[in-house]
Amino acid sequence: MLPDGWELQYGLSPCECATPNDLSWDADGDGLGLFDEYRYCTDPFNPDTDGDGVRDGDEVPHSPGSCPNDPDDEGNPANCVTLSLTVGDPSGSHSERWNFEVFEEATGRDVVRHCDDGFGTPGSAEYALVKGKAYTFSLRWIDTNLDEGPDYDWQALINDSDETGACEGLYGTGAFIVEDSYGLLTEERHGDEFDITIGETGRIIVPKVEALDVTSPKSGTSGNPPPFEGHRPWPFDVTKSPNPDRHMVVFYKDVVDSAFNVEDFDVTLKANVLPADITADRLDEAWSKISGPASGSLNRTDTFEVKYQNPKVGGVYRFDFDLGGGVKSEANLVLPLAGAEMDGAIQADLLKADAFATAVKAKYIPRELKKMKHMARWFWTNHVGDYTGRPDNADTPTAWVHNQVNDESGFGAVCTWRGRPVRLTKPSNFILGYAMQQIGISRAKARRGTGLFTITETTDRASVGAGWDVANGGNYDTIVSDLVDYIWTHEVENDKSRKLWPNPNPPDNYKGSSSDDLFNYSTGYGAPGFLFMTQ
Amino acid sequence: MKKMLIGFVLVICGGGVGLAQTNFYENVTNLWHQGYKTNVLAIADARLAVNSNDIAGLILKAEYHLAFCEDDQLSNAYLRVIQRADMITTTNFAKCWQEEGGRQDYFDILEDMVENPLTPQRMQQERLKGFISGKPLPDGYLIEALQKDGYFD
Repeated sequence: MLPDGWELQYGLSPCECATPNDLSWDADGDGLGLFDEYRYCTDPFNPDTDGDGVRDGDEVPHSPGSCPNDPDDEGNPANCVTLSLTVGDPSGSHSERWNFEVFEEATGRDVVRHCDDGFGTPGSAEYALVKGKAYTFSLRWIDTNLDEGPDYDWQALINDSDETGACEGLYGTGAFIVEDSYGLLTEERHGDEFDITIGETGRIIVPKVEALDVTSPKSGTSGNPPPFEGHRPWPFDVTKSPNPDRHMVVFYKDVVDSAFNVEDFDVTLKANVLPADITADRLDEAWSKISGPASGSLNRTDTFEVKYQNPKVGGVYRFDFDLGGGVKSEANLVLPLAGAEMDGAIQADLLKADAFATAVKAKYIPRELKKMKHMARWFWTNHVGDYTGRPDNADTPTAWVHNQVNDESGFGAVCTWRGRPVRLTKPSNFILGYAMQQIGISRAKARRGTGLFTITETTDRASVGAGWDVANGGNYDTIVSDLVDYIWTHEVENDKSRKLWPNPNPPDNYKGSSSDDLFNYSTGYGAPGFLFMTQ
Repeated sequence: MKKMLIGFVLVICGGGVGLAQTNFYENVTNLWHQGYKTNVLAIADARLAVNSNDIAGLILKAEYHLAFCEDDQLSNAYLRVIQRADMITTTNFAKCWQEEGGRQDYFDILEDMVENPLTPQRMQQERLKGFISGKPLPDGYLIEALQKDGYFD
């Protein structure tokens, strides 16, 4: 059963009458007998032939398994596709013996020597091939029991089929492609006076999605150029991401025109598939958008490289690249075209500010309310009760925070307010100013700050003043439209609102236990904190 | 009666003038928050009886008059606070008073009293709010600053 040459290679006596596949012949104690060592192309005297840390006997397919002679799979079945090979002589003569041999294309080394079950008896067994590699296969005639000479009849199948093209691995292990221009694969073929399979080969290609690249001509000024990969806990926070250089970002400022319209642009999604010579027409791959704003479209889905065209709405777009046969890879594309439109939430928060002011005025005399330090204590040091200006309010959430500028301290989620991108601190200050007017704080004092802190940024002061003006009877639409234009014009200096770095994490509803915590945005907040308004 | 008794005990234990007291701020703000404003006034009067320029006593007395809309005494109390506070140069208090708007608050309220005088009827209504508990001492931060400066040591 075992070729003499193989036995001699490992110092075994070709004359010794060993019983193949008997564990008593498991010289290295790896769980494989000599016959298995032969067909899995492993060293009978090395329990871990490929040195990947997994014993040979633990790698061979166990529904599924990994490849015991290839360290590239790291002993992990997830890195392999499992398939079944069948070979033998199914004809009426029941006369021939065959092997089905598989070689790694890049190195030419043996990886599988599948044997039939005896003369005229086809046999099947499962093997694991490593993803991202191409293999050649051939048939090798072994022997005949016919006195008049062999007839070379054979059967050769992969996954019980002689079909070529895209196939699916067993146990959902992934896709592979079979090429067989000569026709080695067959349910039954009658041979000739000589072995017509000699010198003929087929191919088995086991694809792997190495990486997904996302590029755009508009991402040139991004601090984090492509490529990126996969979803991560903090995928777009440069300070927290484990791979800060793997993000795709298109800044709002690079795709917006002077009228704040998002211009047409494309984002190219590309799947890098191994082995390198594999082409898209050989597989049943498909791109699909699995979540994200209802904006933009894929120009096609049936190739490795597609374009996502003309997204106009900011957010996290998630794509799925399905290579067929279970090989999938998920891509997250983030287009920071501003965050959620918050105007409705802000107006709802003004109603809460009305209620807040009414309750406060019922409790305090007007002169008490004029004390700015006193105001500050309500806003900042009371941690229970109603508060407004924070869209992720745990009790009555009014909006979902999508975006956050995290390039410095984590402060400053970005939203869209009446069509303009602004950090959420601006509407928060707007609501603050609104509430201050209602309880009798002068406009000048409101713009200066509440005592515990000083409002210094011009856009923050403008926001407080605008809120104050609305509470004083000003027209909301007019004032806010002017305000957001002003913010866009005057935040050039630090560019925060223009970066619009998104954060897809849900808000954490964090409530600080002290004013220090409240200001500790870099550690305390997944989403930025806003004003507590308690009575 | 119970409130008065508790307040009296606190005054004896910690609010006495001349006693070194590192938790003066906590005591008076807690009393105020719990609604024992009369007791806070008693502490102020006691301090002022010993030293008529005691800034803590002046502030607490002014707070009481503000809380109960006692306008006839408020302006004088405020002027005395301003006069005395302007002379204090210790770090924390001076910062709160001069830089963070404490002084301005006092002037704003004096100005408001002139520009927006309360009618007797309105004053009666507003005065009722003085009895509402659970409110912070508006100028507690000034007392806190004094304590940080060692004023009560």
